[in-house]
Amino acid sequence: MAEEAVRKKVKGDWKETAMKALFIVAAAAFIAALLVICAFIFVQSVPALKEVGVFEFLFSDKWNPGKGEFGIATMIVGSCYVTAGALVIGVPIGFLTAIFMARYCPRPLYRVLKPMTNILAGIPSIVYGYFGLRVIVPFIRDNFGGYGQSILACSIVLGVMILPTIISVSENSLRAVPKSYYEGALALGATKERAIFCTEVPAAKSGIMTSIILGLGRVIGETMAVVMICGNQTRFPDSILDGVRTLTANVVLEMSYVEMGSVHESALIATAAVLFVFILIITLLIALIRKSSR
Amino acid sequence: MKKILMAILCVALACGIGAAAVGCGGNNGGENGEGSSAGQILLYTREDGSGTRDAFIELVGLEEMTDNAAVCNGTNVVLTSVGGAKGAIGYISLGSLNDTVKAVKIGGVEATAENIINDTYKLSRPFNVAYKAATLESNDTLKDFMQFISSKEGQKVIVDYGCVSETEDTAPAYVKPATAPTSEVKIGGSTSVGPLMEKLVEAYCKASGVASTKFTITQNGSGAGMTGAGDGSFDLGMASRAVKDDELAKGLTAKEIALDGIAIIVNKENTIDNLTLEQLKKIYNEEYSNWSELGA
Repeated sequence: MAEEAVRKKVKGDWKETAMKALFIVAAAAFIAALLVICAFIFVQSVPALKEVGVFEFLFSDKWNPGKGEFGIATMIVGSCYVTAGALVIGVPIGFLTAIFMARYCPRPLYRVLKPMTNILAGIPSIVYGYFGLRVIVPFIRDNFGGYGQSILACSIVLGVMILPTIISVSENSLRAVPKSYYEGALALGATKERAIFCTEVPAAKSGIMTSIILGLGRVIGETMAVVMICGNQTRFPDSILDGVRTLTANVVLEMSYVEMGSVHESALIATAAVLFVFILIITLLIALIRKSSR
Repeated sequence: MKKILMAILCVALACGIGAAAVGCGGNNGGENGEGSSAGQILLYTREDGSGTRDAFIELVGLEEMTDNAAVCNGTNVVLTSVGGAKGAIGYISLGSLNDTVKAVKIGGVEATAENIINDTYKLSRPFNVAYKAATLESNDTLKDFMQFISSKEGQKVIVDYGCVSETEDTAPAYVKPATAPTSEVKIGGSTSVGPLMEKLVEAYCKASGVASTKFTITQNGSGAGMTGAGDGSFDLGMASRAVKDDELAKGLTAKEIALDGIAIIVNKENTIDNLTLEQLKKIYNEEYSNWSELGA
């Protein structure tokens, strides 16, 4: 009997070690992928930064690869405008929809709405881009003038694009708020609206913030939809009806033409590196906000 | 306190966006009010590095492309944009022209294959390939492939693709070699010639029975193609421009395989149907800002 128990335990141990090894390998693969990508981006961007100079690269508004001018200031500004615009459009709609779905939506309607947000999330970005080019861009051109390919067009399309992320993450965090908050507020005489907006929403704050950050990440990294509708001009925009070039659009526009190992290629990878740093900063900011709010 | 701040921020943002939109709307209203049918000229161009863009800039004689032109990442996007915007002007390869847009005459000459062949339509460029004589001798596949390109079948592929062939009617028929060639061929160069080269290789493989895996096509620009053909990294280089003298001096033999025209396209509602090269240059230099200045 005792012998058998020991054997069983050893067998169990063997499985345990194997699984442990598997977990470690998985984690290592993930970390290795991240490190290799980081190393690749930063090593490859060194030649351009050396040739052009970091300051010149970041703050010059002249992008003219044929003449050896590499300045991405206009694109940094472009990315910021587009991101801000998309959040202005996407966050209020997404946030209010999430509240509606979590607290107001009648059951039969919810059964239709929920799959619809999932469908929206599953549409490929190139389709969003084409939709923007054929529908949003002409609409803006006819009603507001200008090229149509503009910050506004990008903001609208990207704002719609981040809705599913914001809705589903915010809704889940609202649903995770204990029922007692809501009941307690009602018991104290608050109306339904007050109970939701003044007790449940603050309680779900970190989840809602996370949803916005996830949306922000998607907007700033979005490429295929943006490149078709942002106009890609390398100059500072005067209004939201002017076109801009985002960092991602710059990389995808010119990557297929560069010579291997040229300064131009390196400059495009350096553009990606700047984007990478942006996302790092955002992630850090979020960590800080969450820490201080706790 | 926090909430009040947030509220103020939101209101400020909303006002800013509103003001920007109204401001632009107002400007544009003024421009449209000048009484032209097509209004403000909207410039569309291609991305830096595109062969069509390079050829356009060179043929029109522009110093550089203006920063204010909207950049489209493909012929299709140019077509969609120009097809939808009343005041738009853009340029595409003649082979890609369709009836969603209107091609304007240049100096009174229509963009057609005949006019490109008799050299009256000025916006055309040659598609060249270049190789070393020694490579051609040692590489039997390349030799046979070059014969195919010059043949009736090869020139037909070129015409079907939308390019202009000067020899389609006179070229000899392709004769399949008795034993299929076995060497591998590395082709590299222009991104404009690349898609045509893919079609040629596909048709050649069908006609000769050579496996398509014998061919590799790299599209990395005319300059890189000529350099590669010179130093031996490519067996065949492609260029969407004339082969330069210093490139020929490296021992390259150039052969023109086709002519490609660049069509200047405007919206169908635009009444303009003729532009001179000088006017075109001024349009892209932004000396004109409204179609009414050009009599549209």
